Amino acid sequence: MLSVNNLVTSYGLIKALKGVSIEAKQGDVTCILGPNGAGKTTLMFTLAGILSEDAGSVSLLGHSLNGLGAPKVLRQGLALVPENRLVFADMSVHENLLAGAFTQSRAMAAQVSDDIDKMYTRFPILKARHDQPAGTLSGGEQQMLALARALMSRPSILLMDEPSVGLSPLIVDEIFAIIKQLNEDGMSILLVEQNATKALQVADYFYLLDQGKVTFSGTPDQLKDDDVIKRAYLGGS
Amino acid sequence: MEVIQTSLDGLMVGSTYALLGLGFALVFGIMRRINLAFGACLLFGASLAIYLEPLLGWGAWGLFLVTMAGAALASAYVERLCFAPHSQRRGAVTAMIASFAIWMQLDEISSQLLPQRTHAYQGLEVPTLWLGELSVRGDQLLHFGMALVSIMLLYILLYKTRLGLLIRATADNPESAHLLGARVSWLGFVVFFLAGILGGVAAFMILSADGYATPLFGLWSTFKGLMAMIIGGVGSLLGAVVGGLILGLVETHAGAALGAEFRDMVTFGLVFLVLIIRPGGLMGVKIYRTDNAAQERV
Repeated sequence: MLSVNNLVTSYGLIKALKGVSIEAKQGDVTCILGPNGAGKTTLMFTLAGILSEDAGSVSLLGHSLNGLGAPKVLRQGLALVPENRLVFADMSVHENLLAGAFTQSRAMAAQVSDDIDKMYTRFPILKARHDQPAGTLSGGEQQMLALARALMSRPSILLMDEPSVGLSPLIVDEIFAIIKQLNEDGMSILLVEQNATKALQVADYFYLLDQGKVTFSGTPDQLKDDDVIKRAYLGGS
Repeated sequence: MEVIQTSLDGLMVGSTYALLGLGFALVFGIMRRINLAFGACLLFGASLAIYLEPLLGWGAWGLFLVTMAGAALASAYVERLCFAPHSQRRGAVTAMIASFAIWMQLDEISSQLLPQRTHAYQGLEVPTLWLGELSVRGDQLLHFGMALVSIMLLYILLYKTRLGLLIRATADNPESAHLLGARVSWLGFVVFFLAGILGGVAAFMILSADGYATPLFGLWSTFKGLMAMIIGGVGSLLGAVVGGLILGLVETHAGAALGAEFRDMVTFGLVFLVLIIRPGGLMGVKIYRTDNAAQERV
């Protein structure tokens, strides 16, 4: 579904991604693990069209995403839920959701309204807080809003950058339950996460990114069998 | 009765300052940028209108349209030249300095269009309205109405339309807005264009009430707009309107009580006090305290 081949991205002279190749299959949750500074967020930003790649190719459902820029990448069906949510703090929850449907044409107004109703059904807390400024929501509620806002663009694949960061364990459980439910409803998800234990509950396939390179790829069972990963990410000995 | 009359006059004047302040607040509130060439854009619009008036012969409403269009185009020109290339956070100071340079350029073009020191600017001929002993100049009352309509239209645009949602989202978090498909660069152009239109309306109101334009109008309107924004609240649209009205009221009352020579001293004193007591302006405290983006960018 989403194919990334030999992707190279640099910040000036520093190469953050040094030829990354990954594949996210339709209907799967694909997880990218990696330590801080491994290039995970750079990969997400490059896929979402915020950063330009130096080399390599990205394609979604057979369509090249190279050099399109964020608005067109979103229109092609790839939506990113950024790290730290980045909700529109001064705008209401309802307006945040409307903003998520920027890419929908005016003719789709009825559909946008239906989609908002669906989001309120999926996330009842957002309905309860629909006219509240998003900046006043708790961290978990903001994560739900960021997720719902991304879904408003009707993506084919959802990229989630560290959805558990800064949240309490109880809320993290809730967020991962939502991810699982979304996936069961058919959404393909590319997840960046440092919490491997939680990621194991939802992911179908793993990649380990380290210093801008993929150093491991495999199924959850293969991940659990890898001694190095077990020690570094799962707390095993 | 005299106090009421002076207050009425102050409100009329303040409504024009409110529009000037809105021009600055719109750009600062959304783009986190200060366009120092804003006043020069208005002078350019007015100069173009006066220059073309004998050729077009459209009268006062022609002056209004050309002043507004000229100011809007000049404002959009400044955005493309000075602000669009420096849209990154670190570019705020460079863009502001560049706009200062373009201020000089627009002033020079305006001087070429109007080489005399003073040029007549035709006003609207509306009879004075009398309410018992109180009077309001008909043209100023009409200007007040135009200011109200402009502010209402801006409100509808920002809060009731899809474009407004895009603009507010970009003001709130440009990175997120970009991620969600907003063309942030194009929105910058739209915001400057809108600020130019508001400024053009204000320029027409001020110049047609005075009956003449001078090359100092650009500098003067920059001062008044910035003062309205600073008093009301930096980056707050409602604050700019309130700040403009307060500035008009204080200025008119100071002029009536102390004489014209003390008028500016009192208003600058008011700005001084606001900066000491509420540095973010009367309605800009929330923005001043919480908007890290603004502090990072400017």
